[in-house]
Amino acid sequence: MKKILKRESSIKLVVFIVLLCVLYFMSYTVSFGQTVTATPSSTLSPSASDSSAIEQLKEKVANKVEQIRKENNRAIAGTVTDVSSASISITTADKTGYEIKLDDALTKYYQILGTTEKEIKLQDIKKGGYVIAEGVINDKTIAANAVYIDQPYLVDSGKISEVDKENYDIKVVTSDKTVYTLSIENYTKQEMVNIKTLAIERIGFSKIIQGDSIHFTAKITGNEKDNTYSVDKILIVPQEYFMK
Amino acid sequence: MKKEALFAIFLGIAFGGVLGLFLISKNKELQLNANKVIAPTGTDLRSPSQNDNNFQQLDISQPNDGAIVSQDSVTIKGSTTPNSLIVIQSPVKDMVFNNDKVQFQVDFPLVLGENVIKVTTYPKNKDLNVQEKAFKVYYLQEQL
Repeated sequence: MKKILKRESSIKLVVFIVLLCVLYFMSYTVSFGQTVTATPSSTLSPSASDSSAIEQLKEKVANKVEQIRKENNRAIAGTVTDVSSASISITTADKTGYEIKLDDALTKYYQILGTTEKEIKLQDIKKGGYVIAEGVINDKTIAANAVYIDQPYLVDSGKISEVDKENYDIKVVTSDKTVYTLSIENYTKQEMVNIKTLAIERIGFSKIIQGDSIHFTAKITGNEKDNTYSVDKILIVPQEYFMK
Repeated sequence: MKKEALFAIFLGIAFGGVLGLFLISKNKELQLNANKVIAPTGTDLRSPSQNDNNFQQLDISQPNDGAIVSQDSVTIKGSTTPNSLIVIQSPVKDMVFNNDKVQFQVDFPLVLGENVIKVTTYPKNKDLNVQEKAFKVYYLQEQL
């Protein structure tokens, strides 16, 4: 008796599962049929709201592209090692080589002259010159939007180790133990920090003493020998400041 | 083979394994205790200058090195040891000020093209080292 009851219930279970499967497949075919019979006219003729949505989407995409380009837009400066009609090779101060890819339609060339910039031609860029390339950088390649000829500067500081009063030279040792010889020229702006007021004041060469801290800037011409630079300006922080 | 014999073999292997592991761990412990300590363990190994409570590494949070700007000035933000004399230099300007806080912020002028800017801090405490950071900012008018 028990066996018969058990068999009946298992048969019921199988029938129930089969019914569930049939119902599932029926619903699937109905929904599939609905997608096939959808009228194509609604997608072919967009309404006014649809077109404005498309415009907004286009604008968003354009803005995003602009944003990504700006984020990727960087500048690299270095000395020109080679120039061709398609690219410029440069070496940066840390001796890394980059290739500036040029585009006839896109890339513009300028020369920076103080506070202004003058548009120039690719032919004006010479080997040995210093250029800034602005564009999208991919590893060691720059797709340049613009290339600028600029003046490189040495900006550094250190301690004065020697003052040559006859030749108006100063020997400076920097924190990384580089030794520079700074040549004080007629045009060199010589200044010192007033230890009481911290104002920057003009000084003469006689005020410069061994042991003072010095901050200096000089134009890099590429013709320097033995780390000797003609300095544009110096700023002295006298050692008395640290004895206060 | 009898069940009892198999059980005895299994017990023997298990006991041997446990004893082996115990001996290995004890041996390592003994070796470590026997070794001489080369470096002091409890003391601070930093340089005397960095042991000062006020010591703060010079950090420039703004602008980033190699940043392109389209204005003729830039805001320099950073942090350093409080009570430091800060010198900011570039080919166009030198700026000197005393900073009694950790954070500092100044507007600094730029010239067209590459601007090499160097920040140097001289802490009031003579035992602390002079710190310096250099970075480049490009003031370019032709941008996307």
